[in-house]
Amino acid sequence: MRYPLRPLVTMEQLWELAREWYSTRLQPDSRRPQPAEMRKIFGRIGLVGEFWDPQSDAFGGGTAGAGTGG
Amino acid sequence: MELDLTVKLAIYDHFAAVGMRPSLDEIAARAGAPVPETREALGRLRAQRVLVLEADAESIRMAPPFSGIPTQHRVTSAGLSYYANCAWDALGIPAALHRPATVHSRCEESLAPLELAVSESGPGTSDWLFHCVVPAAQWWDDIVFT
Repeated sequence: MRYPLRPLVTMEQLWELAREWYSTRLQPDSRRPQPAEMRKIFGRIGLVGEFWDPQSDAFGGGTAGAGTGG
Repeated sequence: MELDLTVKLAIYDHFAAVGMRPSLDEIAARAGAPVPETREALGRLRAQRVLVLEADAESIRMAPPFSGIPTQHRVTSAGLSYYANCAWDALGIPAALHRPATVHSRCEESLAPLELAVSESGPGTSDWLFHCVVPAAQWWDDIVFT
């Protein structure tokens, strides 16, 4: 199936996302990034714009802003 | 709620140790909790987006980064085999386990098989790219598709 081309992420960026989201996932005090934290994480590794904004309505709204990613 | 955390840790401990999803009975046994209460905890964890459950409300479809069912993203580490929900989660498994792993996946453009060694400090130099189709604001509209 073909999908519209969206932003591309390098393996270095993807590893940073994996670490941010999951490095504490097996621990009792783990928590998933909330929208403001997500925005900071994305910005720090160069993923910017409406596509990466968890509370953007540029694509027709959504529900990620009420919770988290991943 | 304390039980929710115990159940969550039981699920993740099982995935890490076994590589496959635990059954409801296995979760309850590992958590030291009665099955009915464990099932209720699963519902609360689903509502908090900690888990994604199957339609039976007790089989684990996703405990990110782990997938409860086989996917095209397989991760091997320390003699165990895991399934990830997506390429992001495939790197998330060694990140969560804090140990080296190998990701076995495929290129969605050419469908060629891919194999990527991941150390505790991440994957080596690679020109592979991750393509995220769904905008961040819509990830949980359909997290399985995302």
